[in-house]
Amino acid sequence: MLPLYLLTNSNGQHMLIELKNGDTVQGQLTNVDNWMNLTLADVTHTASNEVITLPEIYVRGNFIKYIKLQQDVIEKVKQSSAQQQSQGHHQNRDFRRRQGGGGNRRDNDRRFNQGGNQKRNEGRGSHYNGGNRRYNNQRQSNDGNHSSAMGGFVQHHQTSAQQPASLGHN
Amino acid sequence: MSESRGSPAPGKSKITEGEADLYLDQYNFTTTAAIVGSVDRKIFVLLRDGRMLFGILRTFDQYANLILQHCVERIYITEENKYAENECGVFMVRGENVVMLGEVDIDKEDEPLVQMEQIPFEEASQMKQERDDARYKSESQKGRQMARYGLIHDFHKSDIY
Repeated sequence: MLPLYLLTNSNGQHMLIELKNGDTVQGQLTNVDNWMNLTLADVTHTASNEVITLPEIYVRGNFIKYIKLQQDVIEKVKQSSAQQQSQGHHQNRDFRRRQGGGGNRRDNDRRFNQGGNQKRNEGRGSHYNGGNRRYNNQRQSNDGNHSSAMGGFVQHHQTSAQQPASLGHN
Repeated sequence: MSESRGSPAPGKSKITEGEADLYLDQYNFTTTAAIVGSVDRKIFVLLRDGRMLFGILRTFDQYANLILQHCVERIYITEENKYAENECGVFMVRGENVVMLGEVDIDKEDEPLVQMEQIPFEEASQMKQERDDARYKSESQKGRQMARYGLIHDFHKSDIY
C-alpha cells in the first residue's frame, strides 16, 4: 500500500496539513490526485497566529510539508481495500504458506506489527537476545501472512495475487 | 519445499522468500528502495525544517513519501540538556522534505534521554524557534560577507537542519 493510495482512500477523513511555509490547514479531505493536490472542506487555516475558516480549499501537492492523519486511517483503508479485493477474487491462494511459511526472513525479528500499541519501555534494560522481538498483536495468531498487509514494495508484490487469509472464508 | 504442493508451471518459476532476500542482499540500492528493510521498524526522520520525527515506517514510495505510525516529534536542546516530545499519531511526510532517515535501535534509544530533562513541548518549540531565528540571522550575515568576496553562500530559510 503506497502512501498516496492511503491518501486517496481516506476521503472524508479529517486531517491537518502543514505547508512548506509553516502554515497549517485543517479540514475534511474531499479529493486527491496523483500529484498530492488536495481539496478540503470545512477548513481552518492557521498562519502563525492568524486563524481563518473557509468552506473549501485547494492545496497544491507541491506545497505540502506533511499531513497529520487520523489515528485509525491505516486500519480503515486496509479494511476497505480488503473488502474490495474479496469482492474481486474468490480464490484464496496463499503462496507464502505453500512455501513453508515465513519465519526465515533474514530480519524477521524486531518488526513492529500492526496494531501493537506497546509501551516504549517494554523490554528495556535487557540485551538483545536475537530472538522474538515482535510486538504482539491479535492478528498474528490467526493469520499466516501477517507481514504482508502493510508491507513495502517487496512484500506487496509477492502477495498481490492473494487476499488476507482471515477474510477469505466469507 | 515449494514444489511439494501445487508446483508452479515450468518456465514460470516463482522465487521463494529466502531467495528474494538473497537477491535483495546482493544489490546496493541507492534509490528509495534502500529503505525496504526499514518497513515496520522504528525509524528517525530529519526534515528540512529541522524537525525530528520518530515513528514506525509503514510504507513509502519512490519519492520517499513516508507513512509513519505512532509518530513522535522530538526537540533536543542539547546546550541545556533538555528535550521535549509531542505525539502526532499517523503522519504522512512528503518526500521532498526529508533530509535523512534511519533505523532506531529501540534498546538504546532511551539511554541518552534518561540523562536529559523533559520539558513541555511548547516551551521547547519556542526555544527552537529562537535558535532558528538566530541561526538564520548569522547565516545571512555570513552570506553577505561572502558575497563581498564574490562567493556564494547558499542558505534558505526553509533549510534549517
